[in-house]
Amino acid sequence: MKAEADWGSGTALPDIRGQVAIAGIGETAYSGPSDRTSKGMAAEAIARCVADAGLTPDDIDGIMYSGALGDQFSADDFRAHFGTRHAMWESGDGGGMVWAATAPAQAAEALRSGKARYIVNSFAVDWASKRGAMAGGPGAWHASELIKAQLELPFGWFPQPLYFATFASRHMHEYGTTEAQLGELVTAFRRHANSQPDAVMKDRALSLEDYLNRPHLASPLRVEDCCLISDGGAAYLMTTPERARDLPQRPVSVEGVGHGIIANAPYISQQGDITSTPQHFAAPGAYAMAGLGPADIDVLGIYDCFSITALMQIEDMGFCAKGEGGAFVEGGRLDYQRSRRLGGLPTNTHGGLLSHAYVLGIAHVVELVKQLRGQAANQVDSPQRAAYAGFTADEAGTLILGV
Amino acid sequence: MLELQPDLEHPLTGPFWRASAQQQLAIPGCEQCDRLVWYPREACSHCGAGLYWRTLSGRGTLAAFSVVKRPLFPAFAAFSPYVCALVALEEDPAVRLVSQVVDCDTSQLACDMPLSVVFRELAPDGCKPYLAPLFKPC
Ligand SMILES: [Zn+2]
Repeated sequence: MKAEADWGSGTALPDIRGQVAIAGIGETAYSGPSDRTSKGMAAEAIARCVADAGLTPDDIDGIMYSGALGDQFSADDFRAHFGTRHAMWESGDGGGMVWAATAPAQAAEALRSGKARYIVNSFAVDWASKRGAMAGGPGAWHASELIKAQLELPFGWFPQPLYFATFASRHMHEYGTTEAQLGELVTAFRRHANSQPDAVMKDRALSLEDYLNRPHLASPLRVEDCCLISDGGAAYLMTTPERARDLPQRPVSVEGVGHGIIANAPYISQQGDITSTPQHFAAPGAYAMAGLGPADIDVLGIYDCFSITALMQIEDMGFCAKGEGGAFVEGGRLDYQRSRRLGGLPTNTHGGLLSHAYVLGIAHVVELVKQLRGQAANQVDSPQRAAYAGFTADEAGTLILGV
Repeated sequence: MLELQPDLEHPLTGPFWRASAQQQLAIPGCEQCDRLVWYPREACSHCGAGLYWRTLSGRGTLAAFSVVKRPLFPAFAAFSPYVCALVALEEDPAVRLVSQVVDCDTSQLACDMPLSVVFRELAPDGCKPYLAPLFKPC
């Protein structure tokens, strides 16, 4: 990795290595349009998460969610739904995407200072149900931001598939990355979904030949290179390692957290290097905190809103050199059966945003916890360390977990 | 429904569209350090000095592009099919203009090819037509 670059920066985070354990996970069913609401799905995921940890709602005294989205599950929602009355520590700096990675950094402080003992971080979306109305959804913020609305939309550079289609053209130009290589990544995640019981694309096989025969949505990307739009939610529960030892599940330890942001945030059209992502600035901090490097990661969950963003982040995390991601993902290297010992890098073993469900990364973290517990549907051979790469386009987060 | 109408009176971004209406490509430059500053903002991001709208040559290169055969939103139907592009400007290639490439054979498009500005009227559904700085191969 380049040592320094001036188009973004890593954020200094407190060293929380070994201070937070993930002791519970919960998920809803994942689907297309379902008429379920975000809050209702969050409640369901949280109930399962609390039960998975061997606790009851009365034990939960901390809650994290994405405050930027209006329909997430707050402390008031928790009390109303579960009928509890106690005060809760709460933070809107949780949820999915980057924050599914960085939530433990803030949770650590709340646990250390005694503000909370058991903290649930949840995220849920009903964007498949809302898609028809374009109410909310992934493009809504972009269309409302002044500069983007005035200087990008009038030219038709919207929504996200076009951002990353253009970036992909640059990656292909500079490094010779091919559409077939993007297809290798897409079909690897699809194979995982085909053997993942709750994946939205479980019954939809996709060969590399199928992929290449599909038309472009926005060249060089096809529909298959773009994430699903889904309804679903998930949650994970954080506590201290000491308390986690008394709970039924094998504790998963937070070993490192990192965060990075581009200099021109939120305007990725002006990002210094459009063949890279801010993961370039996030991952080094997480590795340093964990005392680990890319070679130590046994299973990876990467924010695959698009095939190209997953490929670029694999490079930016140092699993291969910048520009070599295309060759790296060839030959089934991302398959869950190809452990690091066998020269592979098991990645998005649940199918990812492309083929499992688009719940913005929270299910990636849940999947990694299952992998480290030995409970995954597509179980990697005895993984000890896992990494999650979260992404919002202009920001990235990295979470390293261990058992 | 997506709102695509450029606001010619907006204090921050209106000057870009008013220049375009006069068939000129203008973006903010610094009064002090002479660097281009994009996107528009109150003061220079490099030195903090004031900005003025500077008319540029209209030449650049194709930094990145995507050929969009069918519009992803109905609002874009008026100019579909289209080539969405990030154009690196001659005066400072770190500045990328979001635009379109027109008058081209899409099979011949390649990153880094030289482009020059051409002003074309765009008229998406529900919008008053606006003259936009697009680019063609040169
Ligand atoms: Zn200046």
